[in-house]
Amino acid sequence: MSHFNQKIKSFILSEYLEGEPEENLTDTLELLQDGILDSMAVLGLVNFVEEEWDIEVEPDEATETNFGTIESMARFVEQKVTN
Amino acid sequence: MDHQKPIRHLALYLEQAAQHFPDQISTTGPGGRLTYAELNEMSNRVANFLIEKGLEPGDRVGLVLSKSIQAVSILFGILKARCVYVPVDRNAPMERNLVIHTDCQIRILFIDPSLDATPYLEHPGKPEVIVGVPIEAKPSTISPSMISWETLLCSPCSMVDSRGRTEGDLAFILYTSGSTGKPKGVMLSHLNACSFVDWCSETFSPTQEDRFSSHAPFHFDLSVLDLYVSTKHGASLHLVGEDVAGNPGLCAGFIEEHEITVWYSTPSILTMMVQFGKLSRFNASSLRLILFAGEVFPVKHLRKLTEIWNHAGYWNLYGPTETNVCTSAWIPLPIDGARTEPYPIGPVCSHCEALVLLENGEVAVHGESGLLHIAGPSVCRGYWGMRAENEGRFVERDGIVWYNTGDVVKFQPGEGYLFMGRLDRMVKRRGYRIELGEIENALYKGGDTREAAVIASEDQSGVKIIAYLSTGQKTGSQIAFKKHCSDHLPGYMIPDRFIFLESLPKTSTGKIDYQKLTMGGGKDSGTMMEEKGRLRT
Repeated sequence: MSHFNQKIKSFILSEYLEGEPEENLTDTLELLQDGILDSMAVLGLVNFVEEEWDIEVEPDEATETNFGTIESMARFVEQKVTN
Repeated sequence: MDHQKPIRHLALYLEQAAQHFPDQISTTGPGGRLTYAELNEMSNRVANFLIEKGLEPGDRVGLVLSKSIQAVSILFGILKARCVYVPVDRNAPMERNLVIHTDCQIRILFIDPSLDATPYLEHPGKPEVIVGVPIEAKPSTISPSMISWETLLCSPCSMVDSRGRTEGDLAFILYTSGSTGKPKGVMLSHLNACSFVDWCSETFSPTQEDRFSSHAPFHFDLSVLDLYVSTKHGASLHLVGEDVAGNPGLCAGFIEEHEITVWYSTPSILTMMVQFGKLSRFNASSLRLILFAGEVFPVKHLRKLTEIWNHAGYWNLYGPTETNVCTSAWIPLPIDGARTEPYPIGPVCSHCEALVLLENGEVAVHGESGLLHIAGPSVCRGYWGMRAENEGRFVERDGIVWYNTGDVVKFQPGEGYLFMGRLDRMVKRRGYRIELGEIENALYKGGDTREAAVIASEDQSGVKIIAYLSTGQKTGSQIAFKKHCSDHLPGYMIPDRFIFLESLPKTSTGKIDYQKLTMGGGKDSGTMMEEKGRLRT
């Protein structure tokens, strides 16, 4: 697991799913489709990744494709950081 | 003389706009754009299709559609055929949408074919006709049991017979959360809607130059202003697509791109725009009015918004679906930096009357808190098929029927009414009404739930919904219960947090002690207060 995945996961657990056993929050869990996170939480996540990795997320990048799962978020952040 | 006065009818707005401004852009959004002449023609085809299928005045037509120019033409087509539209949340569980549409016995359904229509098709009381309305780019196939939109568009575009229209005809039914778990349908007539639209004309002086946003979904009563005030004045309506509506940066970009002059939404999205929209990047100089309704706008965020977009007029509109907007407050700018208390909901609108009653039925004097009752032409006639509920909510007094809003208010001379809270278990979140009982009902559908109690708490970031559960286990999974809720409830009803207890606290009569849960739950208060302090999104 990349350190992107781990940091995003820790943030979600502490901010939105307190008390949840870590193993339940898998990298491929559909966070938006399954109602685990709402649109406010996505905005919180956008803020978090922007600050944590000093990147800028454009409004049209804050989508379900990029923020729907931990895996997609990590991939998105990794691309941003490498570019 | 009264009988010579033209009747007020929503379809007439479109017919007149098509006559006066045929080439003016009426609607833009997913699906493209339509002039008034084109929208009028397309809606005539829908109306002729419905009549050809045997629909009679007063018959209900369901919609499970996202926003599109086609959807707007369907709404008007339904009204032209003197039928009643019943829109539902396309993202809500299909099972809940089916309950709504079965309740009001729709005869025809318009559905986005990318959704799974199986629950409708398999239901014994299924609609006689299902029309698949594909929206842009989304891959979808029309099943053989559906009629395609292209087929519908072969219906004649001639104007349908408008004789027989009356103001009292039902125009639409909007369902809101019901405390027993069953959503209740607010029945609204053309007169109800037009009386509100006329008040908007008086208050906001719209013109054909105006460019209205349409942010609220059509199943939400805020859409009535967007759709019909714009059409009445030959202005243009700009539909905010679903992928844009929840994204504050895209919403701000939308305002710039479409040069929106009138924006109407819940405070939630405006708050998100202030916090996350990077507003300074966008040119919003076209905005002349920012209207908000549905919930309290936290002053901190409102102040910030008015500082960034300081050229627009701000209005706080208040009113339940049953009455539409019935009080309004214009917000004088600038907002004092020391102000923390929310703005009043304002004085009663000119088309309504207000009465504040104490619990014993006496009229409250100024300064006393009581339940706000509203009367007037915008007040709906009741809930679909719920006689008992109607009797409880609509009370006759001195020959006038008053709707009891359930909201506790206090009159403040010079300011109008102040919203104080509620006595029952209805809360507002993102502008949506939520009966906490409906969430509990959904939680009991889970096999593990022994006891469930849902409360709402409010902090600076807004209303949080907390579910207390006993499942026989010492602990449980937030994820599992959120998933469960998303199978049974619309997204805005899913609790923010689940707290698992061995058993829920009880009163001396053996009922769940909600007060104790609200104060501190089944744990000691210290721990709970800490938990509440940590709750944030």
